Amino acid sequence: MPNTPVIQLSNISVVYDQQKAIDDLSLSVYPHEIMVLVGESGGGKTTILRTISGLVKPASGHILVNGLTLNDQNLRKIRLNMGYVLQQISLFPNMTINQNLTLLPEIKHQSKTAADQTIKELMAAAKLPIDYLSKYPNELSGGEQQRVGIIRAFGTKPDLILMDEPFSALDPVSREQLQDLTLSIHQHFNNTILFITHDMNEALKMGQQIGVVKDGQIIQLDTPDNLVRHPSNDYVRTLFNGSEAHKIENVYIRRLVLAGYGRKTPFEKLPVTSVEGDRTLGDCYQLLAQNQQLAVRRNSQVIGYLNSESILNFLATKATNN
Amino acid sequence: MSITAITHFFTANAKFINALMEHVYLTLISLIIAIVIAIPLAVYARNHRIFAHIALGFTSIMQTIPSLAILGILIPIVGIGSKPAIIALVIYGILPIYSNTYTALTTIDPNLTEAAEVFGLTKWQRLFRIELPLSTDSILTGIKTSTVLIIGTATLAALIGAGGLGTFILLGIDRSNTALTLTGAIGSALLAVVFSWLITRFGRLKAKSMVIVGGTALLLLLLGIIAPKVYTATTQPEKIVIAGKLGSEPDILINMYRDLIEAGDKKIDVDLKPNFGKTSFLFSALKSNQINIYPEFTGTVLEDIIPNSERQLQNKSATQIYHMAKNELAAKYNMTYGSPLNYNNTYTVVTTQKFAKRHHLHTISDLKKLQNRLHSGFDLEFMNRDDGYKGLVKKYGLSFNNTDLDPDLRYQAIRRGQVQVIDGYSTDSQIRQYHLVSLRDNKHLFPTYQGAPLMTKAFAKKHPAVVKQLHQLAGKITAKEMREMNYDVNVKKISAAKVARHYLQRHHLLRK
Repeated sequence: MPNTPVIQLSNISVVYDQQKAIDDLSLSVYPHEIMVLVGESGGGKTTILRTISGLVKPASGHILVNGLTLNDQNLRKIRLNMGYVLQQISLFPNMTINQNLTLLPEIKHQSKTAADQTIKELMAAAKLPIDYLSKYPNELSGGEQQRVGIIRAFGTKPDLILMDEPFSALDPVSREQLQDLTLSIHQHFNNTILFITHDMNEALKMGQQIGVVKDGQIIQLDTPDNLVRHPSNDYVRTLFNGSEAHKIENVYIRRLVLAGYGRKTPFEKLPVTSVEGDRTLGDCYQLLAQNQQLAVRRNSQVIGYLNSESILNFLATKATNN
Repeated sequence: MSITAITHFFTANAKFINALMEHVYLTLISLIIAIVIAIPLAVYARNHRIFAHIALGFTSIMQTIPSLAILGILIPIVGIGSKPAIIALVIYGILPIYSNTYTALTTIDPNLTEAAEVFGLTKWQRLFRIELPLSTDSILTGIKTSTVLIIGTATLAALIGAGGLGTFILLGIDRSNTALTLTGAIGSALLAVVFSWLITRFGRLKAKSMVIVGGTALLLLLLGIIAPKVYTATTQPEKIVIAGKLGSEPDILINMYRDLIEAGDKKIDVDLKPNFGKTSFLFSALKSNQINIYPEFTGTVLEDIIPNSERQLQNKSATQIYHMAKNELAAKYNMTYGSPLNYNNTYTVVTTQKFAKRHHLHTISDLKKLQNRLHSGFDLEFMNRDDGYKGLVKKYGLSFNNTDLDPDLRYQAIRRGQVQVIDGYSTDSQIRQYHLVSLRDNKHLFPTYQGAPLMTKAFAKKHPAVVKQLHQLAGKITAKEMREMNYDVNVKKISAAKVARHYLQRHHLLRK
């Protein structure tokens, strides 16, 4: 990409208790993209995020955010241009929703009317009633609170938003709704997002670029399609084939298509029904019982076709792998 | 004591309102200073663990020092009146506010403080927008605890002339007047309830109203609208400060001192500070020139101020005792001890006038013939003193069937005829009130306690006219006269100033 990166990490090492949490890691995140860092817990992905937000000081290496070196002088300026969504819903309990949402525009000295307008739009996008503004956080459900958390992060229209496992504490329905909300707001504002998750499905859904983090290093950085099709080693392959067998129903069918199961062209003489690529395998069992082939779509384009045989092939591979 | 007596004090007594205002003033000033010290201390300590522990230890230790000790330490340094009282109250008030604030600030969910940091809030923005608002409840609880503590402890301020409701409590104890004590005690309890309620109400306000209400209250206080007459410890050059111990008798004496001094020199302005709680407070205030004169007993000088176990006081005449006290005060403390009054305020054995008449009792020796038929009601201290009951046994050969009584109850018991003799002080107004009579100590068992004005040598040298004026009281006022005057103040509720002036005029010490 021709643009200068929004985040540029060069040879970063972070040491915790004389152990390297991050080991000589370099990473560039480019404007307007959603970069997902995925990996098992303890692999260092949250440390990367904390290093970028200045909460953790690297032992060595260099960090540029929007061209500014991350140091004590620039820290506050960089932070004010950064949105942040945390795993724990961190709305301030002493403030109303409105006060929570206007706090950051206020300390950034943004126009109050413009900020109010943005907040209203985002509330509508998040399907939160406007009278929630006068409520206190503890009057809202967890999912609703995290929506407010997202609105707060996007509310100042920052160039960069860091999201640290933002949905992992939520139930599956809320999680999916918030993923969609994040994607649609991103489409609207076009800012850069660095997103941390340990959920491979979430990574594939959210990421335009995905970095697989293990032992403080990025072992593969690629588009979702390439990661699934050409995993650089067995670790990545297992990760994306849904190593946890009991959760196989939760695998997105898009992944099957990307991994080469099924076909690029329709199966002949079979009735077709089209489905979104982020439906899960579990959903498809029933659909395939009624329809003989599925046209899998992503962003309103058909990316491939699956029939019962392709599903069986996938399951068979999984069974042998285990 | 009756309900009406209490109601009387609450409603009709302007003195009560004044004491209440003094109490409110002491409480508010001390509380505000305690808040201003404790909260910033806790804010600083939240990021400095070692400092936090030191501060907590220090404030806790201060809390354990008895308040009387703190006052005793402070008097020579900052003087008497409201200043040492406020300092002592602040010392007590800091701990609850500090520890509550510190605990609240350090137990905030770290996710929230971290979020605020990552959002780019400055240290101060984090403190004022997030950390302090999240700690408000806990801080207010600390303030409430401090307030109750301060209101309670402020009753002791009366001991060092800072006024307040404690004056009622101390006077009540001194005069065995339960209504008076209850007035002070109930008053301060109600004050604590009202303050707690106000603070709770304050805590329910929105942050903005909190600032407005708090700011206005502070401003009003600073403007002195709430402040009643405030005693200050600084002594103006033209001013002579005369203090006295707790009770009507010293109060009457210092009023006489004032009248005489002001009659001698119209330009001198005398300031009176009555109702000091302890000999040591007064003496240390005199040493450090916080006050100029106070009346002290010869016996107290030799027993409490300059105690010496080798000194022989038995069988010494009143004049000998006075000269011993005068010489030792001059030698050890560079002080001048003026001429003593007539009366001897010491232990006495008391019986009813009727009983004395029937059995022709005049002296303690006269009791000998009745001793097997007598019930006595001596208090515990008298029973255990060598110059008390033990002396009666040894010197007079007396022995009674005694019931130990509370000082307060002795006079009630003899009035109801439950006992026939009790101990008392020779100038107790109850002797007059209940038609009792004091039997003469014909074998000189009881020590001599003669009152005389005490001042520093430097002061006496600088004000010879004052010394001369006070000398007019030498040899004046008999025990009977003092009893009458105490009766006028304690029972008839005539002001000490009026009683003092009346005496001086009747004895031609002061022109009408």
